[in-house]
Amino acid sequence: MTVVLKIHVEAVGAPGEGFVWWAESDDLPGFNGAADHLPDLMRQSTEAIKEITGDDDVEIVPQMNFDDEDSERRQPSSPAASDSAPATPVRQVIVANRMLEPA
Amino acid sequence: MEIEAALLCDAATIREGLLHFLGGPISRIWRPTMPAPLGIAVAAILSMSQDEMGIPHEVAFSIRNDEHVIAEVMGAVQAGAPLANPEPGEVVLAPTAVPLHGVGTDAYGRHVLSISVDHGVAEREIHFWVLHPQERQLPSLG
Repeated sequence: MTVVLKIHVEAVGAPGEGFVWWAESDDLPGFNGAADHLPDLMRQSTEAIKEITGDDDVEIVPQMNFDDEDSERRQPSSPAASDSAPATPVRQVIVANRMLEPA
Repeated sequence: MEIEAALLCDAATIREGLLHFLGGPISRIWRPTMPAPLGIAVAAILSMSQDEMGIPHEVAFSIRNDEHVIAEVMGAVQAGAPLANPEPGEVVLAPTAVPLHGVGTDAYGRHVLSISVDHGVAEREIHFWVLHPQERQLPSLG
């Protein structure tokens, strides 16, 4: 089976306390996971989904959540307009920040 | 995963998979008063192998001056599915553009921008200086 894993990130706590990554899936209602770093979240979610489904052949398709206010920073999906193009589409999302604002 | 390049510039955008940056590299920022906005952006290029494609990668930015951390930005870069017909040794170059114009600093001197991919798999630091315009003046030749 194929499970699409939606991934989010948010700033937590006071400045310096970092961020939390969390995941959910419409294919597995009730499932969610969280970790301080994305690689940990991916690893833990993969193990948990395989345990929940009981299927070692489950295909997990991770996707960054782009339904946020910064979604306009995504790269357009239109084909390259010039003769020079990247090999594959690359999507970027900046979803959380904490800044010292100038007075 | 490697950070192939990273620099500070006036502005950076990604359109149709290509990185466009304007006015860089920047290593000195002149500000007559404090606190002050940095008014910069980061343009970076990540290289991914075939097995690193198709999954999101954590990209963390932080800027600190001698006093403390003044900005933390967390994001992700996700390339499409692995190439169907990759050339030998071919990697995917993933451009990243992060606007930091709203970041303010409250101290002159050295600042360090740290970039970390996937919690330390790839790292790079860029050092730059925020200086008072008076320091622009050339020393007298007598």
